[in-house]
Amino acid sequence: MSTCNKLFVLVALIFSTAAATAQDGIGLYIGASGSRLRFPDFQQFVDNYNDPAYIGTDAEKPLSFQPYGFGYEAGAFFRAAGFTMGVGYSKTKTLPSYARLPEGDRCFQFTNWNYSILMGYHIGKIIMPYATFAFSACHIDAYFDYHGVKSYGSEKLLNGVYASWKGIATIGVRFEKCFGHIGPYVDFNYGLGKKEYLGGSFDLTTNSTQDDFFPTDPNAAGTYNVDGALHESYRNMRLSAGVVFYLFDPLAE
Amino acid sequence: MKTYLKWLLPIVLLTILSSCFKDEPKKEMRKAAGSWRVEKVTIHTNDSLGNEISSTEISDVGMLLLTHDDEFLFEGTFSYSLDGTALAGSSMYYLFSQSDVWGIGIDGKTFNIGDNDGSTGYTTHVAGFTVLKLTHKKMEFQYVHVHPVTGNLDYMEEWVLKRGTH
Repeated sequence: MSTCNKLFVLVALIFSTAAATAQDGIGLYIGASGSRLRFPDFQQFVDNYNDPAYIGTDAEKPLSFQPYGFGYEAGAFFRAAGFTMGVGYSKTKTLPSYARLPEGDRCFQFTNWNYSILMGYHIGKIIMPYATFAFSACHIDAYFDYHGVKSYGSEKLLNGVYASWKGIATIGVRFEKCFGHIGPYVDFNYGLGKKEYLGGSFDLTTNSTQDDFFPTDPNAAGTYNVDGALHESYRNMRLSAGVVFYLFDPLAE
Repeated sequence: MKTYLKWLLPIVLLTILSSCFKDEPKKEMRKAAGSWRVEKVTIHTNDSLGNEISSTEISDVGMLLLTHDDEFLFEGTFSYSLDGTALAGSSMYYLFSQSDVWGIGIDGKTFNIGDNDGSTGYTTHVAGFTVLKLTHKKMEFQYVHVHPVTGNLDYMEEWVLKRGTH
């Protein structure tokens, strides 16, 4: 487990232990989300990939970035005198970005996991602006689909799964309407994160200098050259909706 | 508040958290480590356009042994006891013969084998296979080869392994 994960689990354990002994002010939420991921550095890769010198002239569809994704979220929080503090988890997977070639589809798919600590304040009974700090993991699934046979194998240099970890900050606003202890919510947020390399597609060992980075130029795939590695940047707009459940009556607060 | 409700929150939270870390490579490697009986190998051969022209199934061809240190800090040692005669037409068997270490890639999506140079400590990656299924009891992986001119899928192997020594 990475240091980030340990830290998050520690915070969550403290939070949940405190929650278990608290008398009121506890809430849970669960919902579905849609997001639009901005990844300007991946566009460099797309441009290089679509260069006729690389992709050839018989591609039926050039590679295009698909920024829209769907996922879910869940979390728990304290609420006291309008102030809210909590922890949350969300996962979003984009639709596949692909190029259609005669032999099959070259596909890339992005997944983001966020483990967040949330702080907010309720204005009235409905609106809660908030900010979060989150540890975020991004994975790129790079695979080739040979007309129904999906392969992550090393027959193609780009194949594999590449990963990065980073801290991100998010600001957002949540609208909720409770009927007794339960009610729907809609949430909108925007997150920014530090740029990171994506590495590790066929990393066999942790004691060598060899690592396989996702490249900016597909011609550099498999060369283990960090200078040409793509920087993943987190710019994500997310809209989610779900159900919030309070273990007390928030309207009586 | 009822007592069971108070403990509901931590239980839900910790259940969610425990699922958050399932993508760690070490967890996937723990699943794969140990001895495996190769139950079935299926070899598909295609023409240069990618159309299947033959399919061969071979059963019970021997054992793979994927050992590892307790901490899973480095790649594990790869060894096997396979029926070389039955697998004479297998490309994966040929790749195994060049390898002495193994590892599972991120999210458990690839099974990788390599050749470790004992004098330098460095590992050369020999091949990466797609993991189709990986549990503590069953593992399935797939090797793909493409036609050098057309790029179409011209050869594919699927290995089905079950936990055990017999």
